[in-house]
Amino acid sequence: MKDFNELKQLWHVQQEHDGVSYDAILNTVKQTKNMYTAKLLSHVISIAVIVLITIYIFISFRFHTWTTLLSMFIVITCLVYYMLIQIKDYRSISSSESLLNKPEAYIAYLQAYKQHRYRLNTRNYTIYTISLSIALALYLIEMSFYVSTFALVLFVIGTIIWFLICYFVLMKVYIKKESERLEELINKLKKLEEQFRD
Amino acid sequence: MTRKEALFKDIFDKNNRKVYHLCYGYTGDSEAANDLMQETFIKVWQNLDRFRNQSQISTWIYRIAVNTCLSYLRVEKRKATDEINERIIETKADDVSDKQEQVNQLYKCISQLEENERIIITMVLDEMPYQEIAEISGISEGNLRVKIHRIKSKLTEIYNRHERF
Repeated sequence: MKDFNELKQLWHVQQEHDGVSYDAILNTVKQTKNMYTAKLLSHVISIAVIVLITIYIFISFRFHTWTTLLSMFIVITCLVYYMLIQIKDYRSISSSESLLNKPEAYIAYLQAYKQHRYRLNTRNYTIYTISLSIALALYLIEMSFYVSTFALVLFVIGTIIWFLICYFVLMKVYIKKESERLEELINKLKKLEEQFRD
Repeated sequence: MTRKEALFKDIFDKNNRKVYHLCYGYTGDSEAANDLMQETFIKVWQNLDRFRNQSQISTWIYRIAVNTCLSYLRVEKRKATDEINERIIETKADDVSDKQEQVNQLYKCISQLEENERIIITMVLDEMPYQEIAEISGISEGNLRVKIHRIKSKLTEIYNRHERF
């Protein structure tokens, strides 16, 4: 039979662990930072290139219909929106100021963050897809002047299939994964919140 | 070594042991504890410029560690590693000292407590002042004293029950 003081003495004889060193942590910090920066940079550069190409086409080429110009404007807006979201998320990942909150406030922050992600993946993605579809449809009007009806139909079918796959398969899998994590986290946090309160 | 790196090294040397205890007590798994400790110190490094001496640096680090533990979600991995750890503990039983074996047993008993109790008791065992524990866990000192009393009895009971077998 041991009392609590004996358990405390026992606690203090435990061996030093040699799992993680200071150098290893600094190396991970540098690698993670480089990885995030590289990822963000590649996103921003690729989007910037597409935006520039679109603007170039917008200025240099003569289009027959105003719908194509509107289509390009919508595409550029979508791309810029996507780029801004990437930058915002990156900044929120690297700042993590919420970590310094008390547990209750931290739990509230995590719940709000996860809900924000869910909204982004559902409502915002739907708006994004609809906007791109409208842009593409508007461009098809211009396209109909240059290509055969058969090629146009093929292009439309191909595009619709790709959009449907993205929306109903790829995005659903992604949302399901993230929702499960969200659900698990919220349940666990609620349980913890009650524990801290009682 | 830059000034920030030197400061970080000093903070790491002074606090890594206690943070590891907290993470080990919370997960009951030394590998996961290492992961969580690493994650905690990465966040400490990232936020070091924001520390404005409003509280003790240890309080600040512990809060990051507690929040990192709270968002620990790898339940499945933990279950799997728990089983492996048990096997490792069993097979290595002859190698480790008797005292260390008792420490391992103590960690096992801590892992049977509720999540918030694990966090609080590891800080108590590391002899942190009650005021600091209250500040980190975000509850009043009065409420904390009651909780600690309850957790101490619970842990002692679990430990003695295991020791009898």
